[in-house]
Parts: sequence; C-alpha cells; structure tokens
Amino acid sequence: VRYIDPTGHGTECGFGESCVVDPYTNPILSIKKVNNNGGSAGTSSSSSDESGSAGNRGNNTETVHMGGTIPAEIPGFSTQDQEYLGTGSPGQVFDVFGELFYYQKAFTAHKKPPALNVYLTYALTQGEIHNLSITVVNAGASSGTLNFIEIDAKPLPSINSCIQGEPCTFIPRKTVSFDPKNISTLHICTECLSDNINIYSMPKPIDVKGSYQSSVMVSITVHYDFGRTVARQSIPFVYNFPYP
Amino acid sequence: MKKSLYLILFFFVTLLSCTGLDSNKEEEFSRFYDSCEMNTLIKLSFEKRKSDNDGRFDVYIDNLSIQEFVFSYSSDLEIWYFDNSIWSTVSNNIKNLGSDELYIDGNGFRAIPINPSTNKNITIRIVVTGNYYENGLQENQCFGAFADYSITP
Repeated sequence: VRYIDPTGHGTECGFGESCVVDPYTNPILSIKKVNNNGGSAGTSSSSSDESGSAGNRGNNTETVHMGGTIPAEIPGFSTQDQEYLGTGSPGQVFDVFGELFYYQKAFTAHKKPPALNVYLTYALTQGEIHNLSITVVNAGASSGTLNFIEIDAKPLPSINSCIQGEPCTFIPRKTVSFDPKNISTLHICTECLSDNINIYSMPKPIDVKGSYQSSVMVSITVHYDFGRTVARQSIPFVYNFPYP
Repeated sequence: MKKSLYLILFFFVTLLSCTGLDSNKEEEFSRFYDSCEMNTLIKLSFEKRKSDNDGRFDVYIDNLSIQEFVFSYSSDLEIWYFDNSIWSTVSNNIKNLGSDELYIDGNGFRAIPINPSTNKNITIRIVVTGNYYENGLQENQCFGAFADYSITP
C-alpha cells in the first residue's frame, strides 16, 4: 500500500519504508513582505476570540508557508467536497499569502492541493525575531489538533539551543483544535506571559544573525487517508529561518 | 545422552529463572502505582518522528472517559528503565515552556513529545498518571497508563 507523504511534499511513501524527501523541495511556496503598519494577516482568527495582542516589531513582516496536508474526510465531519479558500470570506488572510501561486503549483505537483495549510509570520529586527504568529488555515473536512510547537536554534555546526542546550517546546494547556473551514492563529512572543492557550512566551528572541540555524516546528495531528485506512497522523510543519 | 539431558535441564532452569525475574519485575513495578487504576480509562501509544534522529518521539495519550483528565507534564509523566533487576527513572530532556498542567478532553487525546536522556538500544516504560474532573472538581482517585517503547538509535 502506498500513500502520499502527509506533509505535502507529494512524495510517495510505503508502509515499512521511509518517504524520500528531496531536501531541496522546501515546503515554502510563497514569501511576501507586507507593511507592518495597520496589522498583519497573522493577527486574525475566525475560530477563536483569543487572538491576543502580540504585535510584531520591526518594519517588515514576512509570511512563509510551512507546509500543507489533506486531512481525511471522516464520519462525524462534513463530507461535502473540500472547498479551497480563495478570495472572499475568510480569504482575507489568503490575499496576503499569495495562495493562487501556491495552489497552482500544488495542483500541478500533487493533483490535489493541501486543504490544511500552516503559515508563519515573523518580523526580523537586527537579526532577531521577537514575535511569531502561526496561522493554520483548515479548508478541509476534518479538524486538526495542535500537539506542540518547537523552536530550535542550532549553533552551527552543532548543539541545539533555544535557551541553552535544548530546543524549546511549547505544549498547550488544553486542546487546541483547528476546525474545518476555520482560520486559527497562535502567537509566540518574547516575555509575554499569558494563560491564553493561543499565546506562548519565549525567554529570548530567536537569533538568526548567522551563527545559528534556527527553526520553528509545529506538530499537528490530523486524520489522514493512507489508502486502505484512515488513521491519525502527527505531522510536523517546519520552517528553517534563512541565515546570511 | 547424559550430556544432552544436562543441556535440556540447564535450558529449563534458565527459562524458569528468567520467567521468575520477569514476574518480579512486573510485581515490583506495580507497587510504584498501587494506588492508581492503570490502563483502563487512559491508553498510551507511540509515534516516532520520521525525520528525527535525536531519539525524540511522541506519546499519544487517549482519554477513554467522558470526563476531563489532568496531569502534570513534569511530575506525572515518568520514564522507567529496568536493568539488573532494578527499576530506575530516566529524565525527559524536553524543555517545556508551555503549560505544565495538561488537560485532555473527555474522549479526547493529546500527543506529547518525549526525549529520554538515554541513547542506548533499550526498552523504556512510559507512565502517565493523573486525575479526572467531575463537576469542576478534581477527583482524588488516580488513573493512568503505561506502555513500553523500544529506543532504536
């Protein structure tokens, strides 16, 4: 039994075999700089009123695609054909993300575009990132669940370190669901202590000045169609910050 | 002929002693959690991260009750290792900056990252214990689950 790699690379995988992912097939398919004045796409949330106020610092905000997947249709959820968010409500976010370019490319590569997409919005200030927003757009037919977020900064060439020694992991207090036909946003900011399940505080900014290979990983569990069975699958959406 | 008999006898003695060790092993382990109801309403399963060679993996905790379950990530999630007839704990290298108190909805699940501080080719035992909430109040009865995970470097 073969199935398509759930992380949206379009690679075929087999049970008992690992998926061969081309290291140059980066899931980042759209990068757009937007003016930070007047807010950014990463601050909107239609699934929750806990969007918070973690504003971005700096002049430019970059939004990148961290990957996408196609959650399976499962009993108990809508079984209507998957609709892909375009312009119009709640497509405000998509206007920023350049979805048409992405979908066109995804359609060519995989026949069917991912329905659950994860985007990262961040502002770079003198080689440091103080605030991040992770937007999950679920246009699929079943929900996803946040497992955790991990921030890693590997001093080149070795040792992981978010603070000193290990990656930082953010595990939510309660279940964070990404419901079908909804857009949800999570915020990670520097020293912004909060008990809001959509806001996470990191002890210091992420260093992307060149001596670190920093990355953000969002782990989400979705129901995935493996061809013969539908099973839950934890999927990592990863973005490696570019370094000079 | 006599030599063969000795060999067979040696084989059975070894087998019996191993069985004895295993039963002691489980008996001893159950004493650590004798006040907890294990593997009934809480179930554990594992998922290795495909792209991770650092030994990190995720444990799925399924709550089979309709009530909300709560546990502490730092103190209620334990990693055990059995060696030389002794159970020892292994620390978890995950630096969790999120919440330490983790809730699982009724009939819900959570996938939690684990990074045991051992890179040996061994089998570890993951244990999660906690309490249920009923009518907004935390019950005293302890519930939990354990399952074995083989670390393959």
